[in-house]
Order: sequence, then structure tokens, then C-alpha cells
Amino acid sequence: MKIFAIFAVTALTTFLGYWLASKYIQRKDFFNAIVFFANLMEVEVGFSQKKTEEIINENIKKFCAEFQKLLTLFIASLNTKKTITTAEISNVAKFLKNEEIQEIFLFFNGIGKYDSENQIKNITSHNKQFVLWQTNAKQESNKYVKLYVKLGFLLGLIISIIIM
Amino acid sequence: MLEKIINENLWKIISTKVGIKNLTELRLRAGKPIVAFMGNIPWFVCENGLTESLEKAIYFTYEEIQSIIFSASEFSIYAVNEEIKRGYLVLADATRIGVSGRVIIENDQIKTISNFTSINIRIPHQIKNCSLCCFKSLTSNGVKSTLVISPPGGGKTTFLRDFALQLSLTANPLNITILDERGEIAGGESGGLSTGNFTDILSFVPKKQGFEIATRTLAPDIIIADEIGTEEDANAVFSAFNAGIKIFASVHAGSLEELKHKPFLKKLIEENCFERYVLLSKKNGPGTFEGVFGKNFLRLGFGGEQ
Repeated sequence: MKIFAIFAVTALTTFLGYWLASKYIQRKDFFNAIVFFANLMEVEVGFSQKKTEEIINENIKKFCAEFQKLLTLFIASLNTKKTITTAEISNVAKFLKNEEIQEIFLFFNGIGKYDSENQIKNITSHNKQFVLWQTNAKQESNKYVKLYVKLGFLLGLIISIIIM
Repeated sequence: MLEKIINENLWKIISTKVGIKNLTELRLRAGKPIVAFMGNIPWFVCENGLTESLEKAIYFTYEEIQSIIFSASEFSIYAVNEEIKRGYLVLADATRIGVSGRVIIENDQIKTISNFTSINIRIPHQIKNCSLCCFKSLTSNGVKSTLVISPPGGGKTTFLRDFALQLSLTANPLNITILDERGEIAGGESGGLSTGNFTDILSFVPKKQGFEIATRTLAPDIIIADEIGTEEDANAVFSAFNAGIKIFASVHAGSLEELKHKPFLKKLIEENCFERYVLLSKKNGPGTFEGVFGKNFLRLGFGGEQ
């Protein structure tokens, strides 16, 4: 019975640690998705010249849930002759910082507005920033997820010792 | 398609108070009143429909023009830049949007047009049977190579489209290739306008290359091409004519006299490439049939007799 209780408490606190770190995992997945999307757009604009909506519809399932939501909102905003807003971006991806929201807002509002040469330049310039944030998000995720899980596990052990 | 690109209020006025059926052209200019052409007659558009009064007219804005172009490109200017460079965009239903704005030149070539200041939306109308007025004259004892002549907006494209459709409906249909350089005959890639079951459509292809592809690979009995306008176009027609293919083409001209004075057509006329000339005008609205003429420009009866 005691062993079962120790196991249960430790598992619970370890999961708690993982849950607290999930923001970092979401950030990593989100920036992976946006960099992948920007790269995809660069290629499609340069070669196939498919329409924006077609590119998104063909690839949307390849992205994480938050980025899928963002793309869906983007397409909806285009079809209603509006632009996606910073509030909408922030709502979909609550883990983003203000500076990141602004850059993503500018990125989406530049899509489809230029001839192919300038469109690629526009995407590339935003993508440079996205790649930096992707690297940071990856480092943060590696660091904090392990840390939070370990802390959760240790907390579970401590609680178990105290209880026993 | 028009409802997808123009703003909600303007679409409401056009669809309920102006009437899309008789609308041939919309001219939208930044800071200027909206002009709608009903047939040949220009009107200002107001909240209640059409007006002659400048005070009541609705004025269009620069931002609205950018929005229309963006929507018309399906939010992908990069994908339609080649068309924009040539000064127009074509929607899936063959609505043609002529654009003007800042032309950006690089190395003596047009790179793009941006900062659009005005657009001209031409509404296509599929008028079925409009070519039947002289169909017999153009097809009795075999299809005759024909040049359709009219001033701009005179119904040449509509005539060519219907002619393709009518040929497909005959007892012995022929293989037709349509060189749809601006996507106006068949409605671009989606082929939104009916041209019959025996047509192969080469969309957005320059005439020279289009004639080459058609002749080499599609084995057409007839090639239909809109608006022969340059020496290069005329040479392409001449090559196809020499390959034994019947040509159905159109050209901008207000009369036969004007046609004869077009230098790039000289060779085609002298070599009797065209056996028939169909003259259309805008006298009683676009597509007013003025007559069909033989090689020597003598008027023929509707059955083809002189």
C-alpha cells in the first residue's frame, strides 16, 4: 500500500512539473511550425506560385494545434476582407510575448501583398527573427522541461518521505 | 465572383438596384465617382442605383481599390504578377479586371504594377446562340477561316465563345483548340464558361507559343484565338494557316476600312487566309451584327451566298 502511495504521489508531482513546463513545449512547437510555414511559403511563392489559401489548406495538418488555429483564423480574416489582429494572435497562442505577437502580426499581414521577389524578401526577413526565437524556444524547452519534471519528481519523493 | 471582390455595400447596390444582367463594365477610380456601363451608356452609381448626378454618385477610395486587387488575386499577388504586368487580372468566371497604377520598370522591363489607382471590371456575358446569325455562312461546305471584327467591347469574345459551343453541337463536331491568352474566352483554368465538349483550352498562353503547342500536339481542326494585335500574332496565325488549320480569330477595328489599314494584317489579307469576315458593332449594344463578308470584302447573305 505504501509503495503504491509513493508511486502515486511521485507520478502526480512529476506530471505537475511537466504541466508547468508545457508552455515551453508549446512555444517550441509553435516556433517550429511558423519557421516551417515560412520556409514552405518561400518555396511555394518562388516555384509553384500556388495561391496562399491553397498552400495553407494542403499543409495545415502538418502544424501544431495552436498554429493550425492561427492559420484558420488568417484564412477566415482574408475571406471577410479583414486582417488578423494582434488580439486574435494573442488569444490563440497565449504563451507568446508582445514582441513576438507584433512580428507574427506583421508577417501574416504581409502575406500575398507583393510580387514573388518582394514576397520572398518579406518572408525571409520575418523568418530570420522566427529562427532566432525557435532556437531560444528549443533551448528553453530543453532546459525547463527537464528541470520542472525533475523538480516534480523530487517534490513527490519529499512528500512521500514526510508522509511515511 | 464579383460579389467576392467588391465591398458589401457596392455589391448590394449592383445586385439589387443596378442589375448585373445589363452591366457590361464597372470603372472604379481612386477619389472619383463609380461609373457603370449599361451596354454603351455610362452612369454614375449612387445608393439608389444609377444616376446622372455627380452629387449623388458614390466615390471610390484608394484603399478599396487595393482591397479589390488583393481579393481578386485570391490574396496572392505573387501568383498573378505575370498578369498584373500585362495590365489585367482574370477571375475564374472570366471577369477581366484591367488595372492601372504605378508601373515599376527594371532593366527596361515591367517588373510589376503597384499602388493601383483605378480598375476597370469587364463583366462577361455568355450569350448563347449569338453566333447563329451567320453560323451557316461560316460553316457551309466546311468551316471557313474567319476574322471577327469589332471595336473594343463590341462582343468579339462572346461571339468566339459561342461559335466554339455551336460547333460542338453540330452533327460532325470538330476538334477545337482555344488559345485563351487572357482567360476571357473560356474563363481561365477553371473553364467557367461553356465552350462545348470538343474544345481544348490553352489558358494564359501568348499566341505565338499557343499556336506552336496547338499545331504540334493537339491536332486541332480549328484554332480559336482572341485579339490578333501584333505582327508576331499575325505570323503565328499565318504559320497555322499554312499547316492547314482553320483559324477563328478576332481583331479590334470599327470597320472593314480600318481593318484593311492595319499593317500587321496585310499579309493575312493578301494571302486570303481568312475566307470570312464578321463585322460586329456596338450600335444597338455590344454584339450588334453588321454583316458577314467574303475574301474580297463583299457582303454575303446569311447562308454564305454573295
